[in-house]
Amino acid sequence: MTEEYIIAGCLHNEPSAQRELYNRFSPKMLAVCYRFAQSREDAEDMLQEGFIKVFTQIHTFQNKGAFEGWIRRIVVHTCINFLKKYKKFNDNVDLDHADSVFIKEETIPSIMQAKQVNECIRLLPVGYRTVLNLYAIEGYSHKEISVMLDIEESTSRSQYTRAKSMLENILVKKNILEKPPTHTQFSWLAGVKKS
Amino acid sequence: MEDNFNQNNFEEFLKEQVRNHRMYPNDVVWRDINKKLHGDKKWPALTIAAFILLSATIAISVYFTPKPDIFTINPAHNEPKNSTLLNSEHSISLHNLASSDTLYKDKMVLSEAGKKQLTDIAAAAPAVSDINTTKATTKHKPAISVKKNIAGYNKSTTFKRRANQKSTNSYLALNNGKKSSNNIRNTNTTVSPEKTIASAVIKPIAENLKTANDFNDKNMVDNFLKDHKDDISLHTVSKLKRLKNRLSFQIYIAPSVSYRNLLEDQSVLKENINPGPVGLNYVADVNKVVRHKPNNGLEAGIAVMYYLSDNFRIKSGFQFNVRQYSIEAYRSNTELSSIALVGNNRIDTINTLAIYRNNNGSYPAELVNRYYQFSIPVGIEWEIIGNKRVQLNVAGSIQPTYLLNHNAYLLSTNFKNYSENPDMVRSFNINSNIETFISIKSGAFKWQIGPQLRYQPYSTFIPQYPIKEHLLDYGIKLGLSKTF
Repeated sequence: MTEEYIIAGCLHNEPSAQRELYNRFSPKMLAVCYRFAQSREDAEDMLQEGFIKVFTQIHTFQNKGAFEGWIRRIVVHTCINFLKKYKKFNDNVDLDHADSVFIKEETIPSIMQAKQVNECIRLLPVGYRTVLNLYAIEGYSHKEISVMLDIEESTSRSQYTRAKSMLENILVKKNILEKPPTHTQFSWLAGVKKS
Repeated sequence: MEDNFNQNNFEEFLKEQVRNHRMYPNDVVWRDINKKLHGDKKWPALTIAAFILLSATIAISVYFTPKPDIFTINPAHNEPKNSTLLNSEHSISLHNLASSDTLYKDKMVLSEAGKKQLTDIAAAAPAVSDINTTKATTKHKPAISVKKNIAGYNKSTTFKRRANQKSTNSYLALNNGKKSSNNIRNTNTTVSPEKTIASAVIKPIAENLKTANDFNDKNMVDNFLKDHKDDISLHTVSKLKRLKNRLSFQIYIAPSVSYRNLLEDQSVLKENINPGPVGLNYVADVNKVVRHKPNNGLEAGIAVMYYLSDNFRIKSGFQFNVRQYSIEAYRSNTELSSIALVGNNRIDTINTLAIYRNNNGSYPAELVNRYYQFSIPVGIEWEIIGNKRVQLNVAGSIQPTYLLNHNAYLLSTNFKNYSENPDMVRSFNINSNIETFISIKSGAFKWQIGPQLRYQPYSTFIPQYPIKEHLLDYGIKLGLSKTF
């Protein structure tokens, strides 16, 4: 079933086309939701809200750009709204004390590296994680993030810097990244381990 | 100060790592989405069935519970009517007549004509000897229904007696006649179920006047039977007939909805098992990865029931089951699919060719796992409440089952492919069943209807296959039974 056929079916509110669209994109979108969410249950709630928006707003899709990208933007915005709605940002860590957040080594799950990186991202405090997800993975600018999260642009930058630093530490502890020698500034990333 | 090279590499690294990360949502998510988009169209069959059963239970409890005095003879019905007496045949149904002591301890059902016969005798006594039979009636407690009968009659006849002395005498005289005696000779007395009086030949009332006087005796009934033992022929029911009365034959059919429950063999994780070529994937719950839908099933069978008592029955027979569920999959090119087998503290792997994927194939395909089963259920039934016509019952059974076909689709160990592998399907299994039903007697037949649940506690597949499939069926059972 082609993408055009699925979109046409969804525009006619056909359950089979909607199911096909869901089957095709829900695994990737759930992974997106899971990076923003506190738990799998929250991620599935986000996914559900996101897909309902996709199906009800599909007539606004202009066929400009990738259909998956359009769905992804809706899902990401749904995740942000979900976090705002349930005040998940209350769990945020004060930026000044971010370095003191202690993460136990054994809480990092021993699974395959791709999943391991995801789990490491999820170990970050929700505020850091959200900014990191939006900036580093979803490709939003700090300006866009500041609008989405109702924060200052500078706050977004500083949160991202802290999030990145914390994530690096976790990845090094897990031997996914190698810590570079101190004299070779910024060259350590060349030693990223491949799975 | 940010370093662009450093930053870009880090972001690229993260994107690369998470780009192909996929997670499979629980099927409930799609059901909820579908419900919000299209509404819930599911027909609440089980809810309605439960409501009907509950209503029927209440109705039976309120309207069909026998009254305590159901076996008491209403005196108002004992008015003698000579015309009908002379022309009617009389029958008496008694339980446990073999022992006169227990005669009235158990149920005593008098047909209307039988009542007339007894009251007629009672009427004759005071008419001749002018004895107040109410006082003379024995105080023997078990005979309370008879006492009421006689007393009731006398209440109505005492005041008539004086006024109608003449006519009563005439009546007695008439009873001496041949016509009357012939009529009474035709009286049938039956005992059910243990003993039956096939025919009770009762002497003409005129000859029984002495007997009528004996109502003064508190052992009136005993004496009556003793004096007439030669006239009463008792037939003992043969053992064969009793056995036939206790056996009944049943046919039934139960349309159902078949579900399945998948469980993973968690012992693999707990035990230190050496992994084989393909490791087990326990990152996701298998129930959240697959998309299975329940489908219509059927159960049909015949059974023989044996009545252990009035309320308990055991039954056994032959039964045929059809159970099925649908699998949403995708057609793909032929691929190698691996299935892990866990056993002997190690994991072995067998490879098969699969043309169906769980996700992301060329086009959607619906697979059906359909099982044809033959079973020999052995179970019990218990009548909770009811009367002779309507009863509420519960039942349960164990069903040794043989699977007639083995072409089921199995999920590969990495949850990506479906393939058929008949060797992995177990031939013999056990099922269990519980049900509740209402039975209604209609003529010689008894109908029954009610919900039932059948569950297969052992996996459909061999124990080494790490995904355990347990079948579950909800159905409405309709049955028809008849006593031999």
